[in-house]
Amino acid sequence: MSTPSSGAPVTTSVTGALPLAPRRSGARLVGDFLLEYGMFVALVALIVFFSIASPYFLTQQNLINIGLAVSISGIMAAAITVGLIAGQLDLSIGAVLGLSAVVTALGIEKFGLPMPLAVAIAIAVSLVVGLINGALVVDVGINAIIVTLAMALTLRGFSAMLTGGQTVTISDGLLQGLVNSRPLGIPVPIYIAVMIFGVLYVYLTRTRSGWHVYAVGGNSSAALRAGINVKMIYRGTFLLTAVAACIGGIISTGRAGAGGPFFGTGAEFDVLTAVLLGGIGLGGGAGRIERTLAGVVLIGVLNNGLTLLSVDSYVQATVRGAVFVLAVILGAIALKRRSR
Amino acid sequence: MIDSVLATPALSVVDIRKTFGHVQALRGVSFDLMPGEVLSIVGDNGAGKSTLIKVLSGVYTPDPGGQVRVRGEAKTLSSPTVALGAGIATVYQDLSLVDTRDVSANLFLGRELRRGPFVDSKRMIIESERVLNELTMNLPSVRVPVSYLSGGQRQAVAIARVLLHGADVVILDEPTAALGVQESRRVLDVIERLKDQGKSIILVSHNLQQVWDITDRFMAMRLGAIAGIRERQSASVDEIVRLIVYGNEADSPR
Repeated sequence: MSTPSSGAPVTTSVTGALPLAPRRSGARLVGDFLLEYGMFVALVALIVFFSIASPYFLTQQNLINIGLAVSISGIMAAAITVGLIAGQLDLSIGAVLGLSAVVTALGIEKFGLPMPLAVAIAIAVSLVVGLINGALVVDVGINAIIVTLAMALTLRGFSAMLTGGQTVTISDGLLQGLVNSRPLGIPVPIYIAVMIFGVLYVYLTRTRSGWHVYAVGGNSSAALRAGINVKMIYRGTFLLTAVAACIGGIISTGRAGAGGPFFGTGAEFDVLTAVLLGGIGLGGGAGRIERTLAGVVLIGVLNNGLTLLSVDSYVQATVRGAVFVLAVILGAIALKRRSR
Repeated sequence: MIDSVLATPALSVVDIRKTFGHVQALRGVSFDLMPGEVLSIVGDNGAGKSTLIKVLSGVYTPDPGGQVRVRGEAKTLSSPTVALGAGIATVYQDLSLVDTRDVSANLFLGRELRRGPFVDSKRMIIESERVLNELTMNLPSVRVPVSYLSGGQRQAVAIARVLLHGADVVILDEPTAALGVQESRRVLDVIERLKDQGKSIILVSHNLQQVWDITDRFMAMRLGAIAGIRERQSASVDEIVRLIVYGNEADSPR
């Protein structure tokens, strides 16, 4: 669908016709191919390697494990993708995840609220966080990275204040039962992640508002002149990333049977690695969410495979960091090529 | 020429003034633009060209008293959107294209066609190809990102967008400023196509020679007023340059 499909060449009389863009060299074409499909090649290579190296890798149970392991970061990566396409990076997602976990757990355990109400309050709180992020960026005009970094610090402290730094265990098993249930043998979080990717895919590729996200990220003044509500798009992306992080927090709480203020620490780096591996780039205006999904799966496969091969956890952490750096480099190269 | 047949001007500007504090940027500008006519506005820096353009595209509100009529109807151009709605479209010098998006997405920027709740990419592609064909513009595909296009092609895409908006009056601000000789030639060809379609065109240019052949009338501006309007056929480059530099013949030496 990304290839110039129904584009029957627009050709008429040759007089006054404009020439094609300059041709590209062979090396450039190879480079473009690697940038475009390198991640898919790497993913397939990793799957083949781990399948040979470990007899457990390709079992149904293990594949479900991978899916479950990446579902929370996947949900957030999908939302971050939309934000980055609009040109806004939200680094507060990990902290929002922690806050949501605390709010959900406290609501059920300490205040004895029914589970759906506690969940609803957590979502409302995350919406307020998203609103504040958006207002600080759009109305006050502060850089999004600074705003969300400050927000992350504040929320971590605030969450710890709420519980006295403790993790709150939930005795009522309703949320756990729901999150850990497996309709058709597949855990609920995977359904939620797939659904969010599906909805956001349709949003970005098929709706006017989704197209405006690209326009705003690509050239905000052109978008403004074309009558697009640029500020509303920005505000919307911060609401989206906050809600996605909140859903991540609720799932984490359900899986752990508890909610703590330090849940989701460093989550933004896993998410960013996946998104950058998907070639979304920090420049805005470009990127496809299906590539983010591939990036998320790649990281899940890597983590899972290294664990199956009993690779030392320090080594794993090093590998993760190296992959992050690689992803950033790829993103920088892609950006440079685009703005040539 | 056709203007004698079609009596109503596409655009009438009557006594437009604009002051910024003590500075009189426009001191009462009046002219008519006929359907299918190319009017080139020339003048030195500070002559009032861009102020005039910004008034006509709805960016600046003129001082009260003057009037802008589109096809005989008085209009208040309070914003770029209103100006566009009135049938006056401006192609800005920076072109306002989203480089990462394809040609068809740029042509329909902010006005995407829909079928039900979703964008109708197929119809937008067909419409894009149609309008580019009308301009005899040759592209490999309307699905190419605009960043892959040359400067002239980008300019043509920006002009094609104006066609899609259905504007009668097209204002082009220095359309060939950043282009090489050949590219400029091709953009001028595209402007010729616009003219063939009966659009009225206001060109702002620094380069008299370049726009000479395509221009019907030159309007020379100096110090916020019109120094003179000349039919291209009966004018010489020298005469226009003299207008730009010295203003009315009465003031000019010799």
